[in-house]
Amino acid sequence: MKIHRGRAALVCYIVAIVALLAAGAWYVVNRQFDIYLQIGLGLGVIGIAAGILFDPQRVRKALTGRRARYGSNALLFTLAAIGILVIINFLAYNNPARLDLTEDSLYSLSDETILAISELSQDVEIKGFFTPDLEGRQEAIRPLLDEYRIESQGRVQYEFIDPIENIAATELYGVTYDGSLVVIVGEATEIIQYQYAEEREITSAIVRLTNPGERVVYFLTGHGERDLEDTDRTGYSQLKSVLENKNYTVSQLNLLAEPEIPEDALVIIIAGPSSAITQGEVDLLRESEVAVIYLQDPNYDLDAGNDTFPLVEYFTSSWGLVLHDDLIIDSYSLSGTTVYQFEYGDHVITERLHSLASYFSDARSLEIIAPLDSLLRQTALVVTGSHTWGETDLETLIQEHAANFNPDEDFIGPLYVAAVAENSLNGSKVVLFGDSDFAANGNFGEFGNGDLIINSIDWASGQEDLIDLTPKEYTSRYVVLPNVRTLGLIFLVSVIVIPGTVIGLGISTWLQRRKVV
Amino acid sequence: MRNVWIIARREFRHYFVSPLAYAVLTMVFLILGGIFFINIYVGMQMGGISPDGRIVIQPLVTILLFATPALTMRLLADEQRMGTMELLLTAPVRDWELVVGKWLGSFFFMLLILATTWIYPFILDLMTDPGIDQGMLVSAYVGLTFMVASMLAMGVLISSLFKNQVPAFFATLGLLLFLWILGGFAGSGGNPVTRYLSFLGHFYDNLFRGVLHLTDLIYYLSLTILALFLGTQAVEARRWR
Repeated sequence: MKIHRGRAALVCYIVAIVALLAAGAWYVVNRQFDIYLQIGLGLGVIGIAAGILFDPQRVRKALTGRRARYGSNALLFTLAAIGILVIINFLAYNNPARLDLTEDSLYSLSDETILAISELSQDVEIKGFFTPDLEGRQEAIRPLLDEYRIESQGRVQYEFIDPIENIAATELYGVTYDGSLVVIVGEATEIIQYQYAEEREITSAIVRLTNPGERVVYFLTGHGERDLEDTDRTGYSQLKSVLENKNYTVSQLNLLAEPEIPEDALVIIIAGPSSAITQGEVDLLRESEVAVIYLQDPNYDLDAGNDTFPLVEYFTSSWGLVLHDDLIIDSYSLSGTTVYQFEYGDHVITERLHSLASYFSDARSLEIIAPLDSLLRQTALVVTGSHTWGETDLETLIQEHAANFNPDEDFIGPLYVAAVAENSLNGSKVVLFGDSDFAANGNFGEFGNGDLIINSIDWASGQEDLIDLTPKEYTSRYVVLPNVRTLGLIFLVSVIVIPGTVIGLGISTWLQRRKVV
Repeated sequence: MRNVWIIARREFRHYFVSPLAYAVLTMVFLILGGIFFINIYVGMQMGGISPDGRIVIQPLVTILLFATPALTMRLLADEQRMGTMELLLTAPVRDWELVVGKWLGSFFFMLLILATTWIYPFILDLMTDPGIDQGMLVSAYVGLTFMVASMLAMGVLISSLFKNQVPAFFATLGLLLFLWILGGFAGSGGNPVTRYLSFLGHFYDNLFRGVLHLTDLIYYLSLTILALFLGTQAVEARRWR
């Protein structure tokens, strides 16, 4: 069989070009010098070599002819032009300049953030873990991260990682939620979930990580409190894990054994004690002025009585937060004792929950009484609906599993389930919850339960807002709905007049040209 | 430069006697006008209209994907089909002047279209209290102008490679469509190279939202220069091919 050498060479060249293009595309997409790329490059080289061998005459002619001379000139010019443009684009990409033209400067960082990141002495890396399902959120956060990159002169860099594709990185940074941002400074990291991925959180994380100092949260022990290591539904292991991801050091504190409040304590959490906190311990807390978060379930130990809790008395007398000896009943709830928040109070803790609800099983209600100290600021955090009441007859409830509203003794809804108080003179803070179940493993991930306790710890420890950003002012715009006449006018102008004018001009031009012809 | 200006003016004027240009204009304004009115009407029925001045820009971008090849397919391909290219090549006009002049003529015509579409945000502005965000609108239009400039340049380049308008149209459309979908290859992780090459990404990520990024403008400017340069090379190649 006779082989046409010219055609065979052409086929070889085509194969080579296709293989090289495919290899190039493969590399652009995968950025890996893998076996497929090597096969593509190999095929390309072999194809070219085979083409030359089949038809060497054509190659000789192409390299020495007039076309070759002009063609190589053109090719060189083109390559030079592409090279220059690539360099210009590369420089522009690495030295970004921008101008926010929006009237409310919607896409500009606040002056405080710019100041904070312009003084960075270390590089900051932000890794966004987004699956393709959350690509919309990823793209929504990208401009903000771009701002950080630009304003920090490149000291803040970011990248997005698909947690499914890159499991190693996901595990390395302990990312458990899709859409998390990990802020990295040196060895230190902090995770921000996407619903909090806004300027205030990111800047606060950067400030925290670039100004390292141990942030220790203590959980009181010795009174049957929730167990931080317990991974069952009633344990607090999830809360501990999230706190550690937020760069907190979580420790336990037994004031009975060591009656001294550690100096590094930012906040002491007393989570669901089943026996009374002693007066001595309460005195230590009072004297230290350390922030306290107290989560107390209903008192089913009928013999103990509410008044025997010195801590309850401390919250009442010093902070004006009274823990009722009751159980909240929700007439809308199937179980009767699971109560959903009806509304949140106006506070930074709940403000950051956005639209996330929270719920409490077997909770007791609180009351805020007028403070003795005028420097005290109290705020109810969680308020139940008007269809709830605080059942005080716990004896009947336990023995007969029945609850009936008694207007003389029970507390009528809406009721408070959580409240905060802050002393504006010395800055000491307390948070009181009438339930500790909501933050346990079984409920932590439900709705905004986990966020509620985390935000409370952030606030109590003074870490929620390390940087005080100037609030942005947004122009409120609204379109005055047109009446029928205006709507008709809009239709006339946009659908009839403008296209009609164009058509008219076109016809007129056509007619004129016909006359000329 | 004088030659560029003369060619540009001639091309610009030519659009006003071209039935195709009027067909393109009619298509643009009929679709945009319809979309604008439907937005207002539906907004009225739903009880609220978004005070966003960029109401017609998104559909306009899609319309321009088809309008651009229609406006550029003729520019150099017709010269070759009519046999006037040889005349031009022997005239005292440099190759780049010819290519840039043709591109500039189409660019001016496109600017006229873009300027006219401003009437829709203007109507919305009249209905909005205290008015739409003009900064956002200006940024979107600046971005659109740069993007359209590069699209037209690519159209001129493709037109220089063909003798017939129809393949020039489809080749330009194919090239633009390829650039359109290139951003999709970036994937969730966002390969920086493919992401940077994303034609629409440079527009929608920043310019459309009201932020002028120098990088985005340089990207479109680079594409324009590269396409015009390659167009010039293609014309010049006729001399020695």
